[in-house]
Amino acid sequence: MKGGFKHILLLVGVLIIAFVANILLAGSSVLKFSELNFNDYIFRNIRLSKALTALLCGISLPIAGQILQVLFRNPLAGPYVLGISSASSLAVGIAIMALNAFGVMGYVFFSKTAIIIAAFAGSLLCTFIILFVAKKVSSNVFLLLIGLMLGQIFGALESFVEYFSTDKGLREFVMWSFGSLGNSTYTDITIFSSIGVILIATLFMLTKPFQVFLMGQNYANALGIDFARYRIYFIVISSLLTALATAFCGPIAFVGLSIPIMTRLIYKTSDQKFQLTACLLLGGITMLVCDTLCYTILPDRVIPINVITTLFGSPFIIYLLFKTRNW
Amino acid sequence: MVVEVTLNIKNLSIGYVSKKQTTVVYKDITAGFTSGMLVGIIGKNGLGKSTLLRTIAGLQEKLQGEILFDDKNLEQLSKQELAKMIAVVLTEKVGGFNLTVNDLVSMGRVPYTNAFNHLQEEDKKIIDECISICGLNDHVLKPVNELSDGLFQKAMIAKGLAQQTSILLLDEPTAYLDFPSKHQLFELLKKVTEEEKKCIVTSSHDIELVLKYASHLLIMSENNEFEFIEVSKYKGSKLFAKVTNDYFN
Repeated sequence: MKGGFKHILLLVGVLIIAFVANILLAGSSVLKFSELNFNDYIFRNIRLSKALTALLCGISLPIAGQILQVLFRNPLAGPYVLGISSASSLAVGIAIMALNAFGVMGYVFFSKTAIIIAAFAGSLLCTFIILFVAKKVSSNVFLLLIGLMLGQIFGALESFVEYFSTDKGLREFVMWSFGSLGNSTYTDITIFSSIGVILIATLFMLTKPFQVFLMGQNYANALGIDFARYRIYFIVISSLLTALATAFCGPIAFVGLSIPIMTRLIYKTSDQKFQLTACLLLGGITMLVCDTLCYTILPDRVIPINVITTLFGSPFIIYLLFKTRNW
Repeated sequence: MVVEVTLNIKNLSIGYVSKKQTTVVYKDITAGFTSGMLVGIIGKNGLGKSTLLRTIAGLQEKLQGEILFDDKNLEQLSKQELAKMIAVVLTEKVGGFNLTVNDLVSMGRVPYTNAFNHLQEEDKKIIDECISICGLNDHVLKPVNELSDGLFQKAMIAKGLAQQTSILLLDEPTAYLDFPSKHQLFELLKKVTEEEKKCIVTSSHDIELVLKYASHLLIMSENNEFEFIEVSKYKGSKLFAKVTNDYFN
């Protein structure tokens, strides 16, 4: 894209500002820049870790969404669509309810590890089902519909589990499903960022086939790109990114679907190298700004992150859709 | 430069294989295509014109027989090697995701670019040439999904030309077009065949245009009857009379 580098530089600048602003503003009190000190417990273990988690979430989910939208050549696709998020939620639901039923939920370390493992297991299970189906059928629409149905099944099972859960278990699960950025330790962040970096770097190595995927299966094959093989790579990368974000932050709504659409509407380029880069930067900015809003809109109250991302993001997308027709 | 390739198909059977059964759509097709030929495939819908084109392009497995590029079997060629010999324009739509005419034509360079799809000056020159051959100079930055059907087909042909293959396959490129656009499209195909030394194989229901512009006819009919003749000999062909009769009854 022409002038792409300038746009990226600008986004990086905004991202840094959003990051610092988030650390200063998003908490029970407003910090001053001059007060920041790495040895300060609150700065290090609450503000900075939360900002880093927001950043990682904002980077990984839009990339996962962009992959699925290109793969299905459909702007409606997102991490929710293949049932991956639902599978994660179901697994976490079962884990929380079971831990409560056996009365071992009180041990924080134990329960958190269980939630992360469950979220990962759920996403991976769903991904394997999707891959199994993908090997059997060549039609992407078919695959999309299977994903939607799987999501419905996992959703129904989740209601089923909820219905038989204890009060305490249900409350904890509902809290988890609001999504939260504030529960990550530095171990979590290290795991999240190192796997995330590997996945995204791999994707950037594959931007050529990714670009050609815009042409669809037949033309990609006719241009010498092995569609079936790369489709599997892309599904795995997308699912793992979703799994990471869901495991550490709960099901974060909206960003995975909307940031890719927003990027396309704003920059109007089909260049996937640029699109992916802009996506992850815009995603990071959005998550940081939304998290800041969670803490600053109401005095002495913290609004769940999912409420803010959806309430502020959706009208913006609607505005962009009306403003531009070509996408 | 385009490397000239001769395409020979021998006793080719086409169709679909599923777990339960094999469906033969058409069998014993034999024909040879070289540069400078503009071949029109005619015959009713559902006879296997698209299946034939898809099979030759390697998008679908053949059932039996041989597809030879010079002396190499289709199966011996890698996807990328094949993409340098044969380009296709199918009936399916492409567009959205901000894809412009220029982006679409650039896709034709994919078999030649490096792992990061970086376009060299040479590639850009080829892309511009193909855009101008197809008369798309005024639409370079237009989103593909905003083009009229006629311009869309031209853009797809420009993509095919940018692929620098010696063979270009088209599946009913004139469907959905108005009459002047159909003429223009065949004019373009003829020009490309002659000036760029291409071999073009296209299916079409516009028989009068095929007769006017094509050099060869590949006639398919029910009962697996089949003929591959020069256009000038169509009057002596009983099968041609039968197939065209089908259109009017």
